[in-house]
Amino acid sequence: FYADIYVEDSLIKQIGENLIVPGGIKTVDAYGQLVMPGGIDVHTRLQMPVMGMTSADDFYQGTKAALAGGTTMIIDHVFPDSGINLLAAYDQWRECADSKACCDYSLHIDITRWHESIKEELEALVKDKGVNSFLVFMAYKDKLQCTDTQMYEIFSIIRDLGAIAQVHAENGDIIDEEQKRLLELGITGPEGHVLSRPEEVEAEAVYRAITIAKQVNCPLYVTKVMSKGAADVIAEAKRKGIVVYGEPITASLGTDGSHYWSKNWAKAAAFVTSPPISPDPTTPDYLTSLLSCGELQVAGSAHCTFTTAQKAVGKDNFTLIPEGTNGIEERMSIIWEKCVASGKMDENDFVAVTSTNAAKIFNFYPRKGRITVGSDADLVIWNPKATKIISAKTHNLNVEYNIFEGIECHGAPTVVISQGKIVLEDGNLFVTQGSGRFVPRKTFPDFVYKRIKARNRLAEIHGVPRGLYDGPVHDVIVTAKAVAPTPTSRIAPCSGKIPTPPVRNLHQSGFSLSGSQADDHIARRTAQKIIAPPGGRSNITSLS
Amino acid sequence: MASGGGGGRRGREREEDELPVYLARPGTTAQVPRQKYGGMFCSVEGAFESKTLDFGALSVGQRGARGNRPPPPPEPPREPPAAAGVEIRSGSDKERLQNLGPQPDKSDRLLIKGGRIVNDDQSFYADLYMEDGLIKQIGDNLIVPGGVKTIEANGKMVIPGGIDVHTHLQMPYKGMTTVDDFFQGTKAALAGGTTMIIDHVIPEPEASLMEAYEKWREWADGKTCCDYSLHVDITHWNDSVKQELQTLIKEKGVNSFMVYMAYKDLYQMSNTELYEIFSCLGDLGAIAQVHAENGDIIEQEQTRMLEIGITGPEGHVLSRPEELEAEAVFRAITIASQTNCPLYVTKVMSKSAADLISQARKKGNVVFGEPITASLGTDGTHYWSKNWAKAAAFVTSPPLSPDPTTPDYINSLLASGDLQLSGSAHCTFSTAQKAIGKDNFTAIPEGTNGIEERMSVIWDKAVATGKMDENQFVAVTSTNAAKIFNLYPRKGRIAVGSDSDLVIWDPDAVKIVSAKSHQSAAEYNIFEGMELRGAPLVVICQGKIMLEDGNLHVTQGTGRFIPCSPFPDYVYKRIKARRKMAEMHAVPRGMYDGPVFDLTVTPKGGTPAGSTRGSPTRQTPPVRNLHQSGFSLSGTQADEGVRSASKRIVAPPGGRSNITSLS
Repeated sequence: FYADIYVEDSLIKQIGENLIVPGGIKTVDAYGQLVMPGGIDVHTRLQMPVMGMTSADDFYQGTKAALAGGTTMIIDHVFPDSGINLLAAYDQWRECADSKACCDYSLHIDITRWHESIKEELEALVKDKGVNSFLVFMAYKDKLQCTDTQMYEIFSIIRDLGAIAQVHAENGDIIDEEQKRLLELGITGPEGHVLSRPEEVEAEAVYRAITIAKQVNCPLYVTKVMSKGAADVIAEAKRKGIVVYGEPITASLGTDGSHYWSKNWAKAAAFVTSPPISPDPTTPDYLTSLLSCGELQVAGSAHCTFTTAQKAVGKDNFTLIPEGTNGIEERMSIIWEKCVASGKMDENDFVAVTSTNAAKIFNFYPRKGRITVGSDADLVIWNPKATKIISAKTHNLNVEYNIFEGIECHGAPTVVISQGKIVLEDGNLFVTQGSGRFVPRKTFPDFVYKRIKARNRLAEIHGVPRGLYDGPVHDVIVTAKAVAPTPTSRIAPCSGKIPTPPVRNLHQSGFSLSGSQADDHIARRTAQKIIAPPGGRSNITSLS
Repeated sequence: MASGGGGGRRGREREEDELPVYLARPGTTAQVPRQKYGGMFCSVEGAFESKTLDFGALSVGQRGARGNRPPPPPEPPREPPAAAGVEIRSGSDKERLQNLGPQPDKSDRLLIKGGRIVNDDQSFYADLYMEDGLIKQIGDNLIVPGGVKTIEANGKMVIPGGIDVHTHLQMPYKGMTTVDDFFQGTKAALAGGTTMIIDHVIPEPEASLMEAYEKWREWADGKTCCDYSLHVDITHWNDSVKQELQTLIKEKGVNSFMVYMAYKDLYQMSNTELYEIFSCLGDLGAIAQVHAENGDIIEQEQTRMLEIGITGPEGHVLSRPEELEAEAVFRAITIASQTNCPLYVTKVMSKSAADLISQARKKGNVVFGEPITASLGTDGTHYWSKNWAKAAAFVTSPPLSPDPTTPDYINSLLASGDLQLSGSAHCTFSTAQKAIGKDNFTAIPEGTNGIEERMSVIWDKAVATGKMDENQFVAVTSTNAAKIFNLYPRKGRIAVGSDSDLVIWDPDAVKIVSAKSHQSAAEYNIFEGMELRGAPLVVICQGKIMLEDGNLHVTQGTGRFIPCSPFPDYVYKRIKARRKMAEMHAVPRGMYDGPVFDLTVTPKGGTPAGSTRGSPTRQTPPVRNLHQSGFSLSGTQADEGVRSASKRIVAPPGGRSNITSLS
């Protein structure tokens, strides 16, 4: 709808026509362009330490790029070094981000190591620190990988706390084997990365994660949906009623993995991320379709950039190439170009996948992700007619390579308002380092947990009340060893059974006493005890 | 096409259970090259035709007129009078005396007249003549020696004897042994129309596979009344097991191995081990079988159930929901497709697992699914039975699905070919043995009966209901099994030269399954009370009549071990082709010689500070040469010598090499 918006104190105060506003305010004339909630990028890894390096974009540079692309909030992943307490890592990230971020942010926490005290740590984070989502890794064997048992336990904890379980879904065991095999074959370039991580392996892990989450009745959020197979598994699970969300990223929506075979090492290496971008060139189209029809819900960027020099650590061994692609800045434009401009979704869906759904899932709706009175004044004025060509020359990142290089996008933000301040206008960025606030998130997001709670109530399991079985019990101790190799012990008890079938009382319950049995009437737990004479048989063994 | 392998094996192994010379007759010349390959590559074009389609040529009579293609219209007199049974008569008394004289075994020569022979591809009316446990002639007006025993089939169906691909007879478990040993079990098998079983060898964890194999051979050789073969279960994995696999495959006639994805801390294999085992089996030409359930999660669920206080058999199915089966099937398929190894999923018990298999087949994966009698014939609602003994009798893993529409669904998939063969997973424990777990469902020994009921259950559920025809019935009960495990056409087909394992099947017979009348030693029959249409009238195994008029004539220890040779054509043709295709190539590239981030200098410092950023990278965008390959040299760079066919590009410190710009 068309309306005017009045913003004060970084909140939206009034919406309507002919608003009565105090004098002396700055007026932005939108001229019929689209005013939409600022984008929320649910997956970034700014300033992430890997192997002693730090990703090239820190919180300042990264959030600046985000704002330039129309994203006014990011949710970053805290990636604790193994051995570091999750709380300590959280504090570290808060410190970095508070001083540098130029837009609001929130944090996911990666569970990189399973240990006993994890439950207490998670509880503290959820209760006191405003974190409601945790990521577990199914890949990176011997480093970050969780076993199925650990996942089961972590998911149970997360469900009890009312948080959201995120997974990095790839089968690390198989990948490890494939990597060894490829290196043996002499494949050391970036193409080895995608060859060792075929998309089946991603789909398999997604399937497994969904199975476990279903068992535990925990909401699941699959990060980085990169392949058709994985997306299909999620869509299918959703149709079966499982609470699962899928997050494609800019890279999987905007480009494909054929570049891994590029002759230019640096270019090929720039695409290295996990799960890899699918080499099937029809994948982006397929994923955007699923995003449009709601089978996938939110879009992130998984922005985690390394300079070519940093990538070159793996120049002789693809397994050492630090993983990550850019996308924080391009996310909104790519989705607009691929989905809205191509007619797959309308502008409302666009808002849903770029901000609203994310805000709902992570429980800061309607503060973010909606333009309404009382919401944060994070707005984007979007010009669907603007055309931009993505290039490393013009982007706001610290890397030499942009994986979307040369893509022409129709649709770009003309004005970006974050916290009520204009941060982008006429292509000029006005950002202040450290102005970003941490947005704490509460547990049990309604959007996710309403269904989970209903199921929790339903899912109670009841045992079958039965009489105690007191028929003959095979004595394990006596024949513990003797039976195994010699067939003699068999014939003895069985031969007696075949010729004379027992007295049968059809249609009687197992409680009845019949035939030649001796009753003791020793009532135990409301059931009658039936003792069979040795060699005879209790009626309980006949069919009821 | 298992025949070649069988022949080759006979040459080297000198199995005293002589493997028949059935191949020597139709194509002696064709046999030679097969032996040369040691039985590994047993495909001989035309072996199939020379068995069946040319049988007219071998029989004397009006062969020219018979095309043998469609079921030829039988001569009118052969049409059976209504409700006619099967008559068995011997030759004249004189002839019988002669017959008995030299060879007391009266059923050595056997003629079946007027049967409708049903193979997996076609049905036709013909007479069958058998001698020495082999089928010698098929056709009309056969010229046979005098004094043969004649069975008048009266137009009843003659089908290849069933092959039960999954049994656990005489299986030791926690110091007990299943109540059906090899004698009892195979007797039950014969009573149900199954003339061959493939049993599972389960070595104790850490025990040698070879020893377990020998042990099973010993038990089985002394007791079985029908032919058998063995799968070996891999219960632990290390290099010595790998060695044993080779020996078993090359010398012992085992071509299928099962791994467990469940039973945590006992049999369970990790993904890495699965990967290694599958690659190893793929190289050796064997078939990987999996028991597909996610053991990690099951363990968690079991603990939870016991905590809630659920200790009865219903806890078994509650702790093993069908999603866990499906998950494991999905994982196994993924790993098998990665390693290019044929996969065989044992005991398909649930819809979702069956769906995944058929889906994977549609994607082109080489995967086979084996539903069992229990999953085809009954459902898991009985776990909630008030009668503990009854509920416990149904305990097997993966559990029977509590969804009552499952059997119907699985039968449909079996009929459509999405699932290929059927086993029984016959593994029976007496109620007393099951009662070990009376206070804790996790201790209940797992296994259900089904060896005897298998054929009838499938006939009743699938053929009588019109889901499949008699040919498909033969395919799923015997032919496909023989093909997958490389026993074809020796088993699983009625053709000249095949073993004379035959069943005369009466589609109209109705039998009520009951523990009172069954052959198994268990007190409980999970199919109790089920009325099944279709039953065997006569069962012939190794050319001898084992069942007639409801009477069994079996001799303990007559069963022979049938070795299975590796690389079954049916399975491995595709695998081999893929192996050739799947070679991977690296991209030939120039060496990357741009700046490399120095790991040693800032190993720790870079973490929180963010200082590493702004310095060299950002300020001036490099000179860009669009649309040039990475090999080009441009701008301000200095060239050096040539290294490994590519140019080396050295960037001045702080500057940047053109290789980093886009090509």
